[in-house]
Amino acid sequence: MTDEEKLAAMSKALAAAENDPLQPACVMRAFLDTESPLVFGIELPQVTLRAWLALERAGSPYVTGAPQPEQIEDRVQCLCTAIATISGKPLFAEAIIGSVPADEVLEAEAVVAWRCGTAFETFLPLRNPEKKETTSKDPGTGWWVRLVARLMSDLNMSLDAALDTPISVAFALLAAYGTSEGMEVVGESWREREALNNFEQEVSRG
Amino acid sequence: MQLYGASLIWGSASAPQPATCILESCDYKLSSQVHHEPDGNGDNAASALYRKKAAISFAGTITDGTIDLPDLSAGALIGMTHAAIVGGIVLCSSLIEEWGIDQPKKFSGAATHYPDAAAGTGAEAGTLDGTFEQTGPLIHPAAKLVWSTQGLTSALGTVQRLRIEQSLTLTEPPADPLKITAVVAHGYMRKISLEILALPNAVLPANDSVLSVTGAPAHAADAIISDAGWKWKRADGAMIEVEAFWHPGIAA
Repeated sequence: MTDEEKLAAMSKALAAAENDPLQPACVMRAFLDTESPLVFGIELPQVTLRAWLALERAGSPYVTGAPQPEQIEDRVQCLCTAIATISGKPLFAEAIIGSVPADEVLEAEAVVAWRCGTAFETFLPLRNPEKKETTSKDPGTGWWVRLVARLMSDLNMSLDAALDTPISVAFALLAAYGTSEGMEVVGESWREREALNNFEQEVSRG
Repeated sequence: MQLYGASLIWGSASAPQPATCILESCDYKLSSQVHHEPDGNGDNAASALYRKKAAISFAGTITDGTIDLPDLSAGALIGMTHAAIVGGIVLCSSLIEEWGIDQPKKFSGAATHYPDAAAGTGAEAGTLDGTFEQTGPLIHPAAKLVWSTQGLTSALGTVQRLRIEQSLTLTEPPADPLKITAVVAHGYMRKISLEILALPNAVLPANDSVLSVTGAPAHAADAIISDAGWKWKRADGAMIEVEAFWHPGIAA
């Protein structure tokens, strides 16, 4: 495929995405949570704001970005802590170590990492069209509490309701609220992002 | 600046041609300022309704590719047929036209009907066609729609989206305490927003240079680029965002 052919195909893909009457796929995933997976028999829901803060407090590598512990026992402990925090159901490392095959543990790690990563799937940077500045710069408070504050102030949620909101739902709601209030999307929109990702996958498949 | 309210000039021969469209919405709201005067018992005894005007907003799909929307830099006065518009003048303060890949060209705008004013020496910008309902044959893209970004080309890449926004400020000096008989249209500004899909190594258009888009309406020429940057960049392509402006103070 030549550069010109790629551009023409990309242009059509973007136009088709813009004209798509269905909701963006990331919105469906955030609100319907159709891919809720099972790990060690426990259903792993989306990561709520409350769960995220608890994971940060526990120093979980799934949210801090730190490397996984080298010792297998510590690693399983991290995994169990994350699953218990996200699901709200108790899970003890002792019940896993020695009784669950290693490949199943690795698979569970991948699922937890995927859950934490997709929490940000609906994040959409916005800017005020008059100021032409993004609002994503952290003034030192951390993004978490600003997200909670905006759910409470913009969407009139109670503190408990905000804390129990999945992060992907929170980002989706605030993106919709911001754009309906006249804010501009900076960079790719959800539809553009999905169309470009699909296009790149098709190109790489040849 | 155009002053309305002195002598009548209607239908300038040099005005742009009408825009034919399928109207998707048209709201007309006539309102007056009201004063209620109570008597000694506190009952309303008399009312004064004065300075009547109507807000008009409209949006539609352009169905004739050979013509431009009115150019408001020539004047705010537009011809517009609507059952509620009887007498007076219609002054347009906002006109937006928009193209996108694989979409019909759309337009929207806002105007004000002044039933008590006459055109005076103010020039006419053009006409929004009175036949708002499409009554002709089935629309064929090649003949009756401005489809996709048809006719628009840029040396940088594919024109993905183009938006031209014209705006004017309407000021109503109190020439007559009871009626709006004079209106000043001033502060014309044209803003052009462009999205171009280009190769990631494309060179951004220079700030302060003249925007070049072949096929744009005649009244979109000579705009000065005030902002040019990447909306996003991927391995195979990138979207360039360009903002430009024009007003009559800028030489052609």
